[in-house]
Amino acid sequence: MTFDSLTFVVFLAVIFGGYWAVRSWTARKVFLLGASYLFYAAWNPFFVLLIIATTGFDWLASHWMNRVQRAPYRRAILAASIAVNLGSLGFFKYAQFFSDTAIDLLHVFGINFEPVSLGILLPVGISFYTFESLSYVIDVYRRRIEVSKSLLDYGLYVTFFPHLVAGPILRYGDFSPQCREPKSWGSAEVGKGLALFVYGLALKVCLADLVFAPVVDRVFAAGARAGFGESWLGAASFSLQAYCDFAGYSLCAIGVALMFGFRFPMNFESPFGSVGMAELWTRWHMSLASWIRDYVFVPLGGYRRGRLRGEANLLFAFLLVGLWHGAAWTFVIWGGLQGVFICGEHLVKRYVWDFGKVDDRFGRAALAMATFGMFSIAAVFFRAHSLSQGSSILASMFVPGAHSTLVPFSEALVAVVLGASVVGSHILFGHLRRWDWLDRWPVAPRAASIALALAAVMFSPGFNPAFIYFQF
Amino acid sequence: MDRPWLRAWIAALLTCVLLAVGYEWLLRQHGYAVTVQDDADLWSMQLDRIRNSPRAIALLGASRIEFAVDPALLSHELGDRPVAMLAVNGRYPLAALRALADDPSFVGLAIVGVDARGLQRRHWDMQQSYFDHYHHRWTLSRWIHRTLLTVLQEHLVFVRSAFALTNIVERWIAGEGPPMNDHVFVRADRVGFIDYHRPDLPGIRASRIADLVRYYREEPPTDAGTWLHDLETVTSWVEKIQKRGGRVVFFREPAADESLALDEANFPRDRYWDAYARRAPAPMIDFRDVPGMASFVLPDTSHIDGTDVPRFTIALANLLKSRKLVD
Repeated sequence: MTFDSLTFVVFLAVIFGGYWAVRSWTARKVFLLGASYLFYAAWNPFFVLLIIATTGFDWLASHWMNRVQRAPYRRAILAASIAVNLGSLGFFKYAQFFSDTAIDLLHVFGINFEPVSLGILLPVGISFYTFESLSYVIDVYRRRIEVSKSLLDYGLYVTFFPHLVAGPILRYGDFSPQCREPKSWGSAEVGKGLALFVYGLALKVCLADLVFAPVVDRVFAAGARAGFGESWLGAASFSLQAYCDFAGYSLCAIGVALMFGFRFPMNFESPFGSVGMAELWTRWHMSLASWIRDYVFVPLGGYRRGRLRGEANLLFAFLLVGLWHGAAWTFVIWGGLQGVFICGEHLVKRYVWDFGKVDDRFGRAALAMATFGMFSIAAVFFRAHSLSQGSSILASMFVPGAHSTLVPFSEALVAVVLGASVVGSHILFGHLRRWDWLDRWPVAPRAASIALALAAVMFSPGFNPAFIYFQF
Repeated sequence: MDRPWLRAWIAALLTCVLLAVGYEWLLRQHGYAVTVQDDADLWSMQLDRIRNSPRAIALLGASRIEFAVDPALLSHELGDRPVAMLAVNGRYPLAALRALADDPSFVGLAIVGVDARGLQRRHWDMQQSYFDHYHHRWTLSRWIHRTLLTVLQEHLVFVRSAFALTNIVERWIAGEGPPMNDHVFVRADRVGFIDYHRPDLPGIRASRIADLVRYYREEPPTDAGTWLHDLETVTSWVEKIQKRGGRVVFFREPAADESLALDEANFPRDRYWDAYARRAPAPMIDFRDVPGMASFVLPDTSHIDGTDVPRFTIALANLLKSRKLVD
């Protein structure tokens, strides 16, 4: 049940009505939890049992950890919880990848095995809810948050349907106070939430699916040989498709949560207006980036043990970001490239030119476009079916002579114009953070923006391809 | 909802309703009519109808079945049995037969609309993606979405993907004009009715024949020996269905004039169709052997007009009854 389906429109209407019809706050939360399980069951009812089991286990583990005082016991409980969560993620998401990699490695040493298809189905959103569960138990272990007294609240934290399958990745410390505070119809921002939902849908349905995806599909089709211009067009279009798809989903999630009186963290803040890759990663998939910072990069030592060790930690963290996105070497390389770009940027800023200090508008715009170009270079491996396809397209991006005609001129023109509009809006309006400025708008522009987004959705009927990030 | 947001939403909704009404009016003025847009979800709804029913009929094939047989009428003619339209425009149906053979829940009658060309091994997988969709992606949630979408498409023209604004803009930039009006009305049960009462019929006919000439030039026919040998696998699928009480019938649908001549030149009936009919475990019926079937007018040499669909459906029902293929 994706946000862009008519099923979700019905589901949302029923759940929204039911939620506000119930008076007791506890009953409302029970209602939301049940609705969230129903939402998840729409993909595969069996996996509801998995999420219930891991939720229950982590909640019990956190209580046990809270009760025992001796550090080794607490560490052992934490280790057990991490093992269960990562074990589940590893089995469902990475078993096939590890099996294939092991067979390939053995082949190098002359030991040959037939590749085995394990036939394991991937539970939707497992990477997202696993990271949420892990952050909870780790924060309880570190005594940064109070242990959850209510299994209902904790269950809702893990499974609340707007964020369940593709984030933003929540933190229990931010969510639990919201569970304790009963919502009233007056405090919920229904109009604004609905508006954000429609803006998000427009990004996904109109721009990601109908403008950028067709260009990307042509350039990355099996057997296609893109020349210089079309390789850049395909790579840039994919960056924009990924942004419109995922930021669109995040915006829908934030909007829906707001309709129920809950506030989610921002996940994207005009990332293509960033100057440099390091800044971009503070504005792109922010909930994942901050998770990796807090639970991988900082525990590894961050920059505390010297600059070289710090850069190595950073590279490792980004390799992990790549692997988190998908069980394939293409994703690992994508993550690795992000890390290499940021490490390189640190070197340039330190020894050559600190471009972060450029403050004239045109200079920053040029740097933002260069950053978008770097991001698009790495994005090739995110989208490529194989390392060889990724390498081939990447090579074409640096050979100006080659020419191809995979994308019709009309499709390319629309993608370029709208892509430039997206990047341009990020550069021009990147200083507008969060969506609080929307409340200060007069009624007319609010109405115009909603009408524009709603019309974009209404007049973009298509075949509803899945959200890109559902596969993670 | 606080007042400014409420006012903004009311204004936005009114604007969008006006825009939708205007766009719908414009499209209807240009001769476009409502039709259901076929896809794998709509197909999956049909497959759901016939599982576990010994009285069920699965209509397999390509456009010649999809645009010729009315499942509701066929069901009525054959005593209200479940009939599913599983034919897919532009794709030969052998993958569907294979999938039904592998599906123990299918115990009904499979009518396989196909010709010798479509039985070639190279075309066997053309409909596999539909079964993959059914087994891996078809859920209750998609059923609800597809049901609601069908209702919208039955009443509004602009909700079809051809009329997406980006598509219109791209066509305008490319100088292609408005989207092609293909004059096909598809119903929720996937039967299509082609309207050949249109001025560009000679062009459509010429283009179809040119496509077939090009096809045979680019893909020469499999030699008869190999073709027959390959069909031993198809025989095993038929036998699998028969072993659990199901039935299969191969039906070569009407073709005419240049299309029929080209098919015969490349797949002579005696060396292909009849040769397999002599060893196939299921009946193989050629339209030329059925009184009345050869008399249908095929304006483009390959498909009947939508107004002939009821007559063709009744002829097919009578054929099934006369050959005792239904109880």
